[in-house]
Amino acid sequence: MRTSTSASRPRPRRATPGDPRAAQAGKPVATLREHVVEIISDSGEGAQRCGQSLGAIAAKMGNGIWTVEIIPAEIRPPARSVAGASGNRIRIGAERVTNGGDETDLVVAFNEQVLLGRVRGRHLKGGATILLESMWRTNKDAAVAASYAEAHDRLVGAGYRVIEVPMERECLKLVDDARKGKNMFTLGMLCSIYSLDLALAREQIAITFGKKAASVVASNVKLLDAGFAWAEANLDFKYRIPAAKPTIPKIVVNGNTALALGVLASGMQICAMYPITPATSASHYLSDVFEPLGGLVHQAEDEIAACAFAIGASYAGSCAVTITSGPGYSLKQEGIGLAVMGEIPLVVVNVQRGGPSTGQPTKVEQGDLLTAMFGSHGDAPKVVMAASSIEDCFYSVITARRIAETFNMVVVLLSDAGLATSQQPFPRPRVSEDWMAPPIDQSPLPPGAKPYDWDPATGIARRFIPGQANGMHTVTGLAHDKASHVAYDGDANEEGLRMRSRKLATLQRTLRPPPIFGKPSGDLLVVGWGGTQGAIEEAVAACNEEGLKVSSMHLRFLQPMAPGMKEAMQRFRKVITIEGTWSDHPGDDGITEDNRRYAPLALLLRSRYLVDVDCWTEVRGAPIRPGTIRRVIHDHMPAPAATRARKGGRS
Amino acid sequence: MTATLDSTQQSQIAFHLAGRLPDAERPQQPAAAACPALLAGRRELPALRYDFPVVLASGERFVRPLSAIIDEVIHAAGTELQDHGPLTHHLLRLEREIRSLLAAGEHGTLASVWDGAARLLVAGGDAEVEASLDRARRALKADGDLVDCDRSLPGAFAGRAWHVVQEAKSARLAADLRRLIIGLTNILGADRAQSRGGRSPERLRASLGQTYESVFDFDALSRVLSTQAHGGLAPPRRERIEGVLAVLRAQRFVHAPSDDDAHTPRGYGFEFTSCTDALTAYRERLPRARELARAVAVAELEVRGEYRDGVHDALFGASADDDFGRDTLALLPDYFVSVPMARVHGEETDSLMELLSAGVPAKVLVQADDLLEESTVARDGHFAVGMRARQLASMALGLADVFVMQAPASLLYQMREAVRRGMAFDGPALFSVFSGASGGTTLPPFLVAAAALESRAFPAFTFDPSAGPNWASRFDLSANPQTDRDWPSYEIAYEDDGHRLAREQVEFTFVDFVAADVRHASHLAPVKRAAWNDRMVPVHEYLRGTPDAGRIPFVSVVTDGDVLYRAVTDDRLVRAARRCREAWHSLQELGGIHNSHAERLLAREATAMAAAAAAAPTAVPATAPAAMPASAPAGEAAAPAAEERDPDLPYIETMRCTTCNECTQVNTKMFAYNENKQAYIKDPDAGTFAQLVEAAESCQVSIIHPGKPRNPGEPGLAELLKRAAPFA
Amino acid sequence: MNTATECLLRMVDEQHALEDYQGGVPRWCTGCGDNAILTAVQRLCRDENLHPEKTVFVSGIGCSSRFPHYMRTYGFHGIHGRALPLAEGVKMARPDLHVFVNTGDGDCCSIGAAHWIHAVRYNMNMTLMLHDNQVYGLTKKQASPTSPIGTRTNTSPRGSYLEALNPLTVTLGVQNVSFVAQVVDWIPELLFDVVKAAFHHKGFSFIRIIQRCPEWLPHMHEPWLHDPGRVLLLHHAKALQLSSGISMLYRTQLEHDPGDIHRAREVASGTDPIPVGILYRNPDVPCYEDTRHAGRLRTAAELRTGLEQEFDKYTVWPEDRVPAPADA
Repeated sequence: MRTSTSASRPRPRRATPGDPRAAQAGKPVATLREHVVEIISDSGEGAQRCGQSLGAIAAKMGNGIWTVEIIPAEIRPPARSVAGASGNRIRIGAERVTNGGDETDLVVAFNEQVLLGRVRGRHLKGGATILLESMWRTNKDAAVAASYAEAHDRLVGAGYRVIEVPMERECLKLVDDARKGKNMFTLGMLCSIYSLDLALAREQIAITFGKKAASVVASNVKLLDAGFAWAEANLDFKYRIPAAKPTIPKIVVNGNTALALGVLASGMQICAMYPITPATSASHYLSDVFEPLGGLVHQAEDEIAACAFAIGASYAGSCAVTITSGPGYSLKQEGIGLAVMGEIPLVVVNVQRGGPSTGQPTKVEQGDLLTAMFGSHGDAPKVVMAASSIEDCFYSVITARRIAETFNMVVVLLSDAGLATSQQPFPRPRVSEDWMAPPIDQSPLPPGAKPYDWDPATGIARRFIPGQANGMHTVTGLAHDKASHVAYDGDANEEGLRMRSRKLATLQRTLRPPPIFGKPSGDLLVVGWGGTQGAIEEAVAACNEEGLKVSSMHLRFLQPMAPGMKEAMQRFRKVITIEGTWSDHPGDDGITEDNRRYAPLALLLRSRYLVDVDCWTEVRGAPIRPGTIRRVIHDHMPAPAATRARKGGRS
Repeated sequence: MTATLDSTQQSQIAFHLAGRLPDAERPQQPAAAACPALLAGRRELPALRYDFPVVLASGERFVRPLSAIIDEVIHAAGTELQDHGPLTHHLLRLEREIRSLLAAGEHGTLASVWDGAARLLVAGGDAEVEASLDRARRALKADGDLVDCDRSLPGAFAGRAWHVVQEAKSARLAADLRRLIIGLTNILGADRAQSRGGRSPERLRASLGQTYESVFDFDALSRVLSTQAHGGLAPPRRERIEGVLAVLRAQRFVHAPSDDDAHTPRGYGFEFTSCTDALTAYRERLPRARELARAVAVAELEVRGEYRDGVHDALFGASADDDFGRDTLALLPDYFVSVPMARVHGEETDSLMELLSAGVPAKVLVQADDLLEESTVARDGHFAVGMRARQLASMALGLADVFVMQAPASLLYQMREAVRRGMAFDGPALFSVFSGASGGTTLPPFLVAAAALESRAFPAFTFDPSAGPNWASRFDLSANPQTDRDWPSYEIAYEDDGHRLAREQVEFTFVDFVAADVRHASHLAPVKRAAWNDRMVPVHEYLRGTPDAGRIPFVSVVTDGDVLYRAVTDDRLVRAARRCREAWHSLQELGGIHNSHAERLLAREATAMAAAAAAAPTAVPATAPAAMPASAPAGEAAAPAAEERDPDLPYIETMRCTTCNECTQVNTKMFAYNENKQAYIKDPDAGTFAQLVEAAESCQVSIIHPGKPRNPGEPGLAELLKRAAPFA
Repeated sequence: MNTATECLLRMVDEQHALEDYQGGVPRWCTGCGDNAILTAVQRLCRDENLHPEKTVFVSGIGCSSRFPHYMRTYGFHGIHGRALPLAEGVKMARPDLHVFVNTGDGDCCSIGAAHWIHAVRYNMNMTLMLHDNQVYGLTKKQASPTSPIGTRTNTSPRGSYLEALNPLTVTLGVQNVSFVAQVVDWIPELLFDVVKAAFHHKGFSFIRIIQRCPEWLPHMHEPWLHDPGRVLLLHHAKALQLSSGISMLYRTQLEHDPGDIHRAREVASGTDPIPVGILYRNPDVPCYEDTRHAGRLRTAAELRTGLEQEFDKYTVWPEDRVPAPADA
């Protein structure tokens, strides 16, 4: 084995003497607060499975974890292609981990090309450790061997600590097809490197391959042990990330699975959808488990039909959900308008992806806020919520269903590709039957009852459901009066608009001011929404340690917006939103304060509260990193002293 | 026939009349060993392949003969063999082995007995046998209780049939109950969700996720939503629903799995070994059953939202007629009673009759093992045998709406469908079965039962009230051999003393049946060929003629050594045979065979026709009227009957009106819509001729005919008439 | 469901009159064929004694789609082209409701064409009435997909440019089509018979109703209206039986077996004479709502159990062993 190192490599802290493992393994063990690990390969080589297993094992040991899938855009990109990296990225921490963290500390790469892709994408930390499959060096194809050697040397030159590992050779000692074996060999190596419990690893393999033959499990365990042994024998470093023994049961799922579980728990029985990335995996899981539990996933002929189908079901009494992503959401707009007009409860989940148009189907972005709020023509008030964590994906669906049916409104729930594909343990929910939709009300209505007999105080009218005697009426998308009769006169039209709008005000009155993370007043308030919460709060905490007077506020309801926000913002000298979408950067060519396009949330806060809210955005297709946010905070701290008198930050 | 009798003949006649023989004349062979000649060939049953033993399983094919299963296995196991020969041979041996094991008293499931038999066969150490048996065992799919045709068969067979039917029935009811319970629970649940209670801060907090605890002000939310709380079930309805729900949950007739299985009450049992017990249980449960029936009906209406207090309260109130739920009661499980004939007397008989006559949904199996028990009330010299079992069935026939089946056990497999029909019959059913295990003979029960059928001692029939409106469709005698004859007739072959093969036609009579039973040996005197004479006539012939002291009735029997004897029959036995034949005749009449009324009628018609023919030789035979009248098609009224209409009156071809509102807009008093919303002329005088013409012109489908002007004074008539012309 | 209760229900079922199904006063033009369809449907509801609260009429946008407003049942006047997916959602959630769809040639055959084809595939148990007047009415006379080529309209002042689409052959082209009929609004008796047959067919019943538009195409159908010989009546023992009145009036008749799809496609492609009657019927095509077990009963407890089982799949239990020295 060859180890090439460069001078500039940050040495891991030496293990404290008397560390049992150090004694036992006969080499120093460095204790770390956290580490970010990547396993990448051509797709089909099982790096995904290796990463998920590593995450699961760490979680079982009590480490905080956050795993993110690394997915190539194509299903089967050519082998050894720079854009073809497929695998997993696991952040392992001593405490709870709330986001994917910063650049990667250690990479296991099955070939140098996929690695180069990650390097160029600036995913690796300077001087990161790279465990690289060495078989290519001796490849029959001279070109391949050459490109390997060249890449290797360039990486070493760039200061990475590259360790060549003969994975192929080692695996072939145990199995005929090394391609199928490397991932578990790698898992073994990583268990050694991070001092993970090998017994747990064996269990994990049993679980992963449980459905397959015992022989399969056995051979994979052999590979695991081999990988572990190899690392023990050949690597001169070993880490340990302290873990708090887990005290409560937790479930480990990604955001889309959490959404699907939320649909189950909400008691909804119909999910209408049309295949689209990245939303679809939620429907995959749901299709698998829904029907035995009395529900069904209807794959409609198109997005519009999916939306209409859900509306029809809701109208008939069974509140339904339609799950989609950006382009599909645009297509549903007319249907959503109809549900708003007819006051038919409906849950629409939009797992955001890169836009506009087809954009970046597999990439992270939160650019659909404004279309979620203002999409559909005319004044079509609807509730907009955003899930801020994987756990929140689960509970948000339950809450969305509840709001939709109590206010007879459309509730749009925003998630994103990051949450959809990331895994993070959260406390196993204690099931409550109150989550579930009540049975369809078929009790007879009082004779002469009107379907839109709005309560002027709240704007809410009792929902009429087919089958209820005395309730016969025709729902219509046309302007209508209390009796749902088509009405073109100004009074009737305005009354309808007023009442549909009033429901948002009513809901707003039932919300609490959003909690402030950090001190309730200070120099800078960072406002965010959706999947960025973990990264923002991690950065804020770090900055507080540095002594910066910064706090953050994370919005769960975007429409209506919770009360007390203006007051909250005014307690800070400056307010900035951080969002994963596009906004003009002040200082860019031709961008002036006159023409600068603000980020959606900033735009909303500025217009609603007349507070001079600044914004910073990034649309690099990956979740915004806490490190990046720290930098942004530093850059945007208001200058000390001076304009203290003016409330609401600088102008 | 010669006038003088030799001594042998005298003693034979004496025996026939007095039933006694001079000791000197007694034959060496003990009659006990005798066997009716017709059955002689069949004594070695295990060697034969026939309907028994059977395997009783669950599901559609609840009973299958062992031989059928063996054949199936041969087919299944042999598919990939090029030569079935050995396999077939070995499996047939196995089948024989299984039969003899059962004959020797072995019992259990097919699998267990199979394995037992297989062990015996491979004990020989023949590897080939072992191979085929292993292969076969793997191919063996069917299993269940293996039952031979013996004392245990009727109970097991009928019990299984009942069980299969009940399973399906209970499943249906259980599903219905579950549906109704959920439906009612949902009504209450929906109401709770709408109520103030359902909108308390606590419930609201519980109804959202943990991550929303801090997001909502649940008191505020509760305040807002409480303004929306409404309705609530009217107390009487809530009371009614909760009451019905309680009944449905507490019912014990079927096992309906509920959310809290712990609290599902233990179900009733429905299998009994005495009619009295069954009747008692039925009586005790009747109130519960009625209550359940009522609850099901109410629940159904509630779940559909179609319960109308005004109308239904009366129907379901305490005072409601108890009989309304008869159909619902039919959904409940039936009772199964299996009782031996021997126990059917006194109270048990009364209970049986009440079960049947009161329309209790009970399926009663009465099993007779012995037809030849001497009647306790028999007058001296009266050979009263085999009566009670037969009487039972015939009595039940009289009850009209009872399913009745009488059959010897040997026929049960062939009559399996009838058995199942009887079990599924919506009402009481009686199964009177003769097992053949009388113990009075060395013959296997299967043969005894078969003999009882052949000899008309125990004919087979079914009476299925649900099969049709009249006896012809309800009553079925076809399971008996040669139903149009008094006794079935067969050819037997035997060796005469010259060791030549001889054949003769023999009829199987009641006497032949009795001849197999040692207890009645005293009524028969076997006679060697040497003593045969021309005064001897077979019983069936003897019975045909008038009693004649000069003739000596006999039946052919075979004793060990396969020697053919003629057993002279005493008069008491002959009389019993005659009674048996009469009973058979009345069954034939019920079954429409040699129906005396029909025959009399036929005779009268024949003579009448003859007479008529004689009177008018040239008379033409009447022919059936040709050309069926065409049945009037729907909407006959559509035919425009213009010819009957007064041409002066205006009219509309209403059937063709498309409700386009043109005419009604001209004049609503003159033109109106009928109950189908199609136009007609309501009052020709309610408007002007001009309006009629205008309407006719504007009618899209031109079906308005203005007729003639009603008011000659109307202005511009000439012009109008011109315009009206095209619509005349 | 047991017969005792059935007859009880029948005993007390309140009978309805035609007026009980009459909603708002129709705002269709005088002479419009929609009136005839409304009447036929109201007759059906009365004769079948449908419970108004358990009957839903779903429509899209257009003259025809005002239909639900004129019924006194539940109704859903939806958006242009989407009546079918809305109706499918209703039926899937509530198989116990009677669902009817009223749609026009623009609504169904143009903007809603995708849904139309797929509705035939789903074969859900509902009745679709295609009010086909061969023109856009509500938007004031534009060519529709079924306008005969050369039809002069505001978007085709020199006559429409394309061959008309034939809704019958298109529907019959779908593999698992289960009921297709055609009728004209000016023969109310057959209109009623066909609607009735469609209602009783279990599956997706497609009725194309050729309908007059006195406002925009007043003379289009006159030749057929005034010459009964140009209507081809389909009859069969397994389909419509013609009353003597009808037979006397419309002499052009054809005995057509609704089980014969190939013949059905031939007949369907004829436009003059206009075939009227049931072209195809196959009661054996499975209904999507049945295949998907719509309306399956479940209790909160069952759901809770299922949910817990799902959680079990992903749960990391605390009692898992604490990190021990790697045993390798």
